[in-house]
Amino acid sequence: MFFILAVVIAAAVLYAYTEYNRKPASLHHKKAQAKVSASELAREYEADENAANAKYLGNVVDVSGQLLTVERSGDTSLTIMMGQPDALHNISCLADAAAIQTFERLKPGDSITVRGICSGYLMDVEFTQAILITPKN
Amino acid sequence: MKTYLMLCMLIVASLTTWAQEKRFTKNGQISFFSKAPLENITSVNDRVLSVWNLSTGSIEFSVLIKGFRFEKALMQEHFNDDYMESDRFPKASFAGKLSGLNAINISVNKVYDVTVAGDLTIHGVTKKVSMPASITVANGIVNAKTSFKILLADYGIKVPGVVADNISKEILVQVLIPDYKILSL
Repeated sequence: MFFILAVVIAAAVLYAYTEYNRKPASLHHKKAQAKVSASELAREYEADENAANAKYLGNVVDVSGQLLTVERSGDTSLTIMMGQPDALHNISCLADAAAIQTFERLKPGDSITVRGICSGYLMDVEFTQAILITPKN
Repeated sequence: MKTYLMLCMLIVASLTTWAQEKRFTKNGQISFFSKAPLENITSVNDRVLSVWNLSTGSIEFSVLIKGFRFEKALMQEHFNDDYMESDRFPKASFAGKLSGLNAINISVNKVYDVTVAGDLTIHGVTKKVSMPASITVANGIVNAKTSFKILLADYGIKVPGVVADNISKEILVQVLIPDYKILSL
């Protein structure tokens, strides 16, 4: 009986420790809750930010479109911009640290699909933890 | 005629050297630091939007709460779901005035000490704030930085008693704009 109790307590402690130290999961293991083109997404946010937030904010979204720029900032940060070259508002995706190298192989003009978590709208629609879905490497 | 042309050239040269236009960034950085008995927590967001009108002194910042990154997933979830309620209040913002400076000479490396004062809105609550800041011109690049402290209770941010020793009641906030670029519309 005492042995069983000790095992249960040890398991609970191990679970609590693992949960406390859990890192944000890669979006490779998560399904997209919405799929949309970059131009349509920008249009939805320009038309009605509150309605677009109700649909996308905090959700995992696959966004497809033309790659505009790839911008590296230091060793651990990379941001890509997607959308139409002459558009006022585009899609900005902060890459997941593990996905930085895959984004660096891309060239402006490439057609890509990116999966990220929508964090909202400033001058552009912003995403975090972004990973590259297509083209596959 | 020659004198007239020289005068025009001098005026144009002075306008391009003494920057009086609007400047902006989409890559500003805001980080905050909580020091508590059980743990220290740091988070950073480097997609901060800021627009600065040098002529009027008006300056604005806007940041998305869900853009703050944490080392641990549990911290990020509690921060968004329980403390900041980022689904209800997706942004924090500042709108105010920068005083002590209305033109900068981008051809001279210099540090300008200024004061920024205005309305800071976090978690749907707006408070008047004022803090010293510095604008640095170095090799034609204009950057800015400031730091200040906020009390979570001032912005209606509730920390449950069970984690009171994990999160400080007072948070240190640091703002860094690495490059205020000219806003051309």
